[in-house]
Amino acid sequence: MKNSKGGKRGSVSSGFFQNSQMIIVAGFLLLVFSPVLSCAQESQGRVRGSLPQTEISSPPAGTPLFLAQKSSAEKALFSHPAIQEGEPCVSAKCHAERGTASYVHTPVAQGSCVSCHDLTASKARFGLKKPDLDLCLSCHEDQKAFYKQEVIHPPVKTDCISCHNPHESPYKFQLESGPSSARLCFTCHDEEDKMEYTYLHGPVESEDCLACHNPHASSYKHLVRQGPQEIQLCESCHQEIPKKIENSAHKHGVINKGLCSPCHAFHGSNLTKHWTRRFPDKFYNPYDPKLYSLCFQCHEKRQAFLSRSTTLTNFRNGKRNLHYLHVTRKKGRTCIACHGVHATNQERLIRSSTPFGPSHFHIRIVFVKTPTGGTCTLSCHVAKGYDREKPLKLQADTKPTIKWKKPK
Amino acid sequence: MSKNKMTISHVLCRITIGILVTFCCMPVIGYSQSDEIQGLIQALEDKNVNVRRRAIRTLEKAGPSAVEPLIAALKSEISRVRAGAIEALGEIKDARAVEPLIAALQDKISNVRAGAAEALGKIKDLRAVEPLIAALKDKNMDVRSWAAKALGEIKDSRAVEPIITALQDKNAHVRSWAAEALGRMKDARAVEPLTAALEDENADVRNSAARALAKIEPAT
Repeated sequence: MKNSKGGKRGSVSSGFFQNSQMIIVAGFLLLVFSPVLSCAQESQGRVRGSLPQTEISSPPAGTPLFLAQKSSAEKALFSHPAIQEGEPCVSAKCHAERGTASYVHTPVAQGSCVSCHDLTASKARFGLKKPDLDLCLSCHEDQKAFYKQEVIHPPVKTDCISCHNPHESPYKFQLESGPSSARLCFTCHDEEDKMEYTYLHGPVESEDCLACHNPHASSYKHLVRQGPQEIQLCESCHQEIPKKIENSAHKHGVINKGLCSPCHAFHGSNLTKHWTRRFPDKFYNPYDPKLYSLCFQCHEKRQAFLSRSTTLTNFRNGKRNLHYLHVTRKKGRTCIACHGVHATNQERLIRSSTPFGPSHFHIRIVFVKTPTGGTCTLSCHVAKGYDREKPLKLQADTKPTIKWKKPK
Repeated sequence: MSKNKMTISHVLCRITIGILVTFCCMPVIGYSQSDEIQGLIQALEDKNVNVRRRAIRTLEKAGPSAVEPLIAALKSEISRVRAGAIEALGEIKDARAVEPLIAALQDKISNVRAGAAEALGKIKDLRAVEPLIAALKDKNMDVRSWAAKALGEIKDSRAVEPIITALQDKNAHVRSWAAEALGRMKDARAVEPLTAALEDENADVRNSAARALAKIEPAT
């Protein structure tokens, strides 16, 4: 009896513990699978065409379901609720928001969803008839020309929907973001903080990346619209530069190479005229080598601080360095006092005239080169010559030969 | 009797343990949801814009439960995370997001500021009116455009005069969206400046001004 009683008690208690163990085991199972279940719950009604619960492999905790499925995207079969024949896709019940934006894709506007989607046969993502890119190009055949270009914007190689909404958008060309083109570009090219300059290039300031860059493809680096030389792109807006260059006999070395970027930063800079480095733009400036860092990135900086030399420069009277004489002093003449920056009609890129004083009077400069030196005549002082082999004395008695020229 | 007692105790124990198990699992389920939200917020860092967009759409569907993590994500150092979080907050339209979004109007990245203005226009909270009026003077034209649009959505009369001033903006997009905003606000004070905007050099601005005027009833 005891035994039986005990046995009975034992059986009850053991049954109870068995049951409770089962509950605990069930609890553990719930614990283990809860992330999967929750993911599956969240996926239901969210991602159309999501996997049935049984097909979901358990992703690491916290992995978004669409990312977990990314590797097995082909398994994500598309399923659309059954619809009756003739039932419109856009109704108060379904897809009601479609076709309400300012710019609507033509098939959407025409209610021809089946142009792109096949609700019955296709098992692809969103029931698309073809892979993303092929689907777009099947109508937009003219866009195939992009793929013949040398430089192709990476999204163009894979899909169009990175930038264009396939259905509709408030922005032209059904762009995904706006109203400026830059806002869309900065969605991926999030380098805007690197463009925090005091002086922005015009198109950058007006948020128009497309002024210089082609959004799809180009024959030139960085998807720029003109090329192959940098200057060709710049000239498309800065039309005064090519005129000036064409009419000039002597061009700055970088211009000859078709470059603008050694001196001007494309997007902007903290210096006026978007200079890449510091550059004195006044007639007089106390000498400071840092001020000339733009010029000294190519030109020999010792030209300015060695008073005597036989090799550094040809602008010397004997061994006396005349660059040092002009530049390295408290009232130093800057480079642009004598030299043009883009192109000039005189040897050594000497300007024909230079703006002087607050009213910007143009002082004429006439430079005559000789085999071993030269003569410089300014309207403000007497003509002065120099010779590297037979140093000349200062011609103090020579009178100015050129009259003042009023600015236009 | 003992059998009944045992059965009752058995049932009671089962219920107790069931409740315990449920209570044990609830936080876990909760954590998994928050884990997924965190995972989605992490996906906002992804270089691929389509991944980020899907993450934003999924976060929007998570609704109010995603608001706090998204507000926390506004402190991310990565601007695309901040921009993505703002986009999702704008769609969720939760009032808790208003103050953080107003703060985001001061972000150093224009895309984030423009997104914040856009989101505030969707939430339509009156607290945003003054900050959005200030954003009409932002150096970035996207921010100014979205500030004008957002003020048009909120329809607070304090914004009418500043939007009328925005009709003189140097950027045509801003002028166009300011005209649209005035049309939405239907304030008679805008009639004269909108009539003047019919002479604007930009066709979009003229179109927007014409549409806006059609919406405003003449003052009686």
